[in-house]
Amino acid sequence: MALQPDKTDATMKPPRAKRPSALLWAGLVALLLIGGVAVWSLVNGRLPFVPPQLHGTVVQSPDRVPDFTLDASTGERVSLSDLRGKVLLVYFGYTFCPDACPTTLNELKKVPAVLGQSADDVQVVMISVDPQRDTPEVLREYLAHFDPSFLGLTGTDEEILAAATPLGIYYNAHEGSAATGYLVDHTTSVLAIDREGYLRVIYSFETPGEAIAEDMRWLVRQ
Amino acid sequence: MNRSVVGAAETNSGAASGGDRERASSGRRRVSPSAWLYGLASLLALSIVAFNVIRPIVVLPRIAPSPGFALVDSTGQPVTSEDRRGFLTLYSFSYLDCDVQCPQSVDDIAALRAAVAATLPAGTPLSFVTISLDPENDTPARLATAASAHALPADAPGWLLLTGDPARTRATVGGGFGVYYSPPDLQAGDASPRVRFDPRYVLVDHLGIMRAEYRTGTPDPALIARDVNLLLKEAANSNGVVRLGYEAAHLFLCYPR
Repeated sequence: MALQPDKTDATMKPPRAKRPSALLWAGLVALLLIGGVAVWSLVNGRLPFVPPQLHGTVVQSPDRVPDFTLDASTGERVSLSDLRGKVLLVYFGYTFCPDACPTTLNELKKVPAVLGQSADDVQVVMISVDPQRDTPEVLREYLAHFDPSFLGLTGTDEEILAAATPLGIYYNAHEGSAATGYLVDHTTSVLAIDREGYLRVIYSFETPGEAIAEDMRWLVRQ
Repeated sequence: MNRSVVGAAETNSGAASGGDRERASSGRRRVSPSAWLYGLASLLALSIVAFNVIRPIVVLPRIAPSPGFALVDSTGQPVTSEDRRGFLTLYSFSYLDCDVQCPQSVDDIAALRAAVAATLPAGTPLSFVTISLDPENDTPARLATAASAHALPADAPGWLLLTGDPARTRATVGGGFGVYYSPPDLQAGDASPRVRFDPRYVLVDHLGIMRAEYRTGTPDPALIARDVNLLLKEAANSNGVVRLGYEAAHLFLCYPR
């Protein structure tokens, strides 16, 4: 849109101009800049300096996510605030989960692979909704099947409830079959929390890992 | 993020006014290509300023996710936060025995529901959900009696009364919605209320995001109807090019006054 009138004007060269004035040079520089932006937009499929169309529900919360402290799969107590500085992808699930959790973790596994170098700036966190069966050791072993860098968190039911509720996550244990034991229904969203601890995007179940990784590329630069 | 965007808009307009001055000095000779560029830049900056001033699109803020919960309704059926996905929900909090100095009784909520139903067109996908602050006393059966006492036509906004485990109620209402209340006082005599709490209504959109909070027991039904209509309009325009306009409105904090 911005380019059209310039092109037409550039073709009508001023007849009297013998030496290009400073103003014309400035105009040329500006034209180059606009051209650069246009090329960049075409390559990246979006405008620079403008947030991209993200692949989930965007939240503009004025408050940070309420802090919580849980037992990590690394063996220590970890607070959400300890993880500040990295972009977090938080998922609530449990290791006995028959379907949704492995599907989601397999998608999240793609995120570090797609990000490459900046993968260190993104931390995938799985918080257990089944503290009875998910000890830190069980979580570590389970997550190692997907990506050893994934962090598992668990705790008492009260601690997990305090972490899950403000993030819009519910969970509810109920009877399963003899083969599965009891099951835990839970919200299957993935939550992106930025470096400052603000919730930014909520991804619904089955959002492709590549789409999440694309958004992460933008969030790690924030 | 918002602050940086506003900052960018300000520097843009600053550059534009500089451009205007230069154009004015060189304008008498002929319109040079750079003048065109400055003109375009100032036009862009002006349109950003105009969007902020005229505010052609007004949106409600995306405050935070609505808390997750798993409770039961007046028929004893489980209701979770996920069940509310796809519908607009106006959450409220109260308990049946709330009569002494009650800031927001179940009757008050029923009255607001009737008033809002009269303001909105029939069939609006809005439901009232009231979470009991006294789950030990408010059994599903008692809630059912209260609900049937305030029955409205089927196409009016629905009303779910929820109760459940006290610890989960505390996590949902206190931790999630940020409505603090004193635990039910079993020793209380007639002179003092069993539960003390602040009145609150919370409007949640179809994606499960809190969009408005009313910190009063008697909000204006017209205000709630306006906000419901804003959410419906935004949901209807959530695809295609119009969506960009709505995203811009969020970016520039074009909230209703």
